[in-house]
Amino acid sequence: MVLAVPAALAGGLAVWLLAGLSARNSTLPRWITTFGRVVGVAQLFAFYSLPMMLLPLWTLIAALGMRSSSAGKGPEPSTTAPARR
Amino acid sequence: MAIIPSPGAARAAGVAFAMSFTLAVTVGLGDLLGAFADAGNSFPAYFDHRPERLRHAAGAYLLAGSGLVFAIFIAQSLALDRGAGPAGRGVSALVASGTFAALLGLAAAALSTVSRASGSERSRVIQASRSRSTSFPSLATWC
Repeated sequence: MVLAVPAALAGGLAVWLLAGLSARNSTLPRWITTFGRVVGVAQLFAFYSLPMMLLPLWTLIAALGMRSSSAGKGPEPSTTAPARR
Repeated sequence: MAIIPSPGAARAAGVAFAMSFTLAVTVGLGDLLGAFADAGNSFPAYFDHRPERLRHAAGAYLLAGSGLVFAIFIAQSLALDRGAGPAGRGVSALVASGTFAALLGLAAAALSTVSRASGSERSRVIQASRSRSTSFPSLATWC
């Protein structure tokens, strides 16, 4: 407990900062970044040990959500052929 | 050292952290986390079983490894978000994730010490009682 609470605070700070940066770059969906900020603030109550379990949950959601957002960020392929003259 | 941004690496690190941390806290070290209210003399009997000690050792490795994987996840995600915001925030997130990894490593060492020390204490007591009965006479004999 003595080590878990500072660890949760450090992890919550990292998640909060990463969620803020991802919101600017739209690497993650908006609801995941909002959830990340909530998880970061929830680590202030880590002595109840339940908020700490939100860290792996958010990380899992962010890791899986990163795939869909990055897949949609590439250049769109052209589907129409150039017109011949 | 430059980090090559890769969504696949960030995704793998995030999933690995979620799995290893959850397994370590529940299956590996869950009984130790809830053992603060137990009496002290209940520990040696409980930790005298070899499978329990092996499970706690594996849980400690998982917990320490999960912190390192979390730091890798943060670093990879920040590499993907490069240029999105102030550089100070990225450095702060890296430092915070490194602190998280270091504290999880310390917590893993502390929790596994309970298991290792309790088993060693019981073995030491048994060994001391055996050697007392076979080698030198006790102090009561001399007095």
